[in-house]
Amino acid sequence: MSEGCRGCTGRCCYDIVVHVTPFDVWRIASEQALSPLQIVEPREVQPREGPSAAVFGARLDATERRFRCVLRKSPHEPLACQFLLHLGGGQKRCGIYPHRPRVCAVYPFAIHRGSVDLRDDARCGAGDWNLALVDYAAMRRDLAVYDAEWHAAAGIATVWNDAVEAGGVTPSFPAFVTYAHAAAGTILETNAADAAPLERWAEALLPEDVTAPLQRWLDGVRLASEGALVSASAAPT
Amino acid sequence: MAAPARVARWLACPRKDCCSFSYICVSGDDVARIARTMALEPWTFTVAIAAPDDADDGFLLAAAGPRLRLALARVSFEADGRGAQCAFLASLSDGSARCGLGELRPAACLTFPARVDGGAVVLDAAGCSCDWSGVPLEDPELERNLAAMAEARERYAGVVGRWNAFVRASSFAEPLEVRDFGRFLLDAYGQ
Repeated sequence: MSEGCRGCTGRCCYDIVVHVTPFDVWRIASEQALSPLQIVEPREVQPREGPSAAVFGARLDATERRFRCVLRKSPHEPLACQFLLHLGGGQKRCGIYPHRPRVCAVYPFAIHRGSVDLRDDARCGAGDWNLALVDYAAMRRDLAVYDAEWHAAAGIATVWNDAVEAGGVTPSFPAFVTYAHAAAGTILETNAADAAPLERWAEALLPEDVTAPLQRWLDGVRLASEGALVSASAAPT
Repeated sequence: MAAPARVARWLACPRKDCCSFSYICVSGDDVARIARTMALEPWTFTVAIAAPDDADDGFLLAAAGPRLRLALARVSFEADGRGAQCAFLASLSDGSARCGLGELRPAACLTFPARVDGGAVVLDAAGCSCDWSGVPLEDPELERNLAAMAEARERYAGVVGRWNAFVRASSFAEPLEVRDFGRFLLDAYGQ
């Protein structure tokens, strides 16, 4: 557990709406034997909202509105994440910590002015984090993997949106989630035997030139997504 | 690797009654593992409950006092305390529940609903609403966990014995508390 999180009372798990990728959902669903719809619900987003440029969401109806998947909230506390555990002494802990979404794993850090920094909207208390003690190499790597998965998530959404535009699928949240889950599973399982290509891409992100490995990764994402779309379209309704 | 059928059935169970129908007793090994990994002090996630006089995991807080044992804390989201459930159980928005400890969960949970009786592994799913018929209890992971549980229990009995000897030999102005025993466990199971 990160040093700065050890005395935390879970403020970041309350009032923040946690946007997740299909890869996050796949990991949680696999480890917890949950269906994707038990994990996420849709939230409308605006272009450029979010931590990176690759934020454009999926079309879920006949309009141009875009949606992204966010973690569902607790039935007991409307603001709290449904996976938050309530322990003695006001302590809170994540109930899916080993496979929590990447955005949670890198919180409250982001790349700012070329280096790792605390996010402007960090809910942590003053003094929780001492930047002199942060493992910069590990955090930069985690942030790069996080960014890579959001690029890939945007690729999955793009294939879907193109199909919606062409009339190839009937847009709905359950249909999109089923499709995105299949695409993410294919991508992660295909790459599982290949020593975590996302991490290799993250390494490649550190030097100047990131174009080639990113493009190879996104090409793979598009192929897997198109395959998942064909499967989804062929499935009986 | 896919989870054994026994684990897969528990994992997929939406209600998880087995996690809440009674207190889940823990060993020092369980407490130290959860405490260290989740950065939680033992008294934030355990409670002391009454133990039989001859329980080898029964610890004392006073030389002539009753024996107690540690169990996972329970929480209730109702004002009157009804519906208490394991504190590590996450309640999802659709009414189902999932374990927040995963691989860290206590040995009693890892081996549920199996236990060793007279040298044989038997099914004991009291309090559980799942149908366990046909689920094999012969799997290497269960064997390892049952063996580790027995070993941990033996070690814990030794640690509790040392603590109880300390309690009997002590005379403090202020009575000992469960928190003192919790600190003793962190010390005894320290790296």
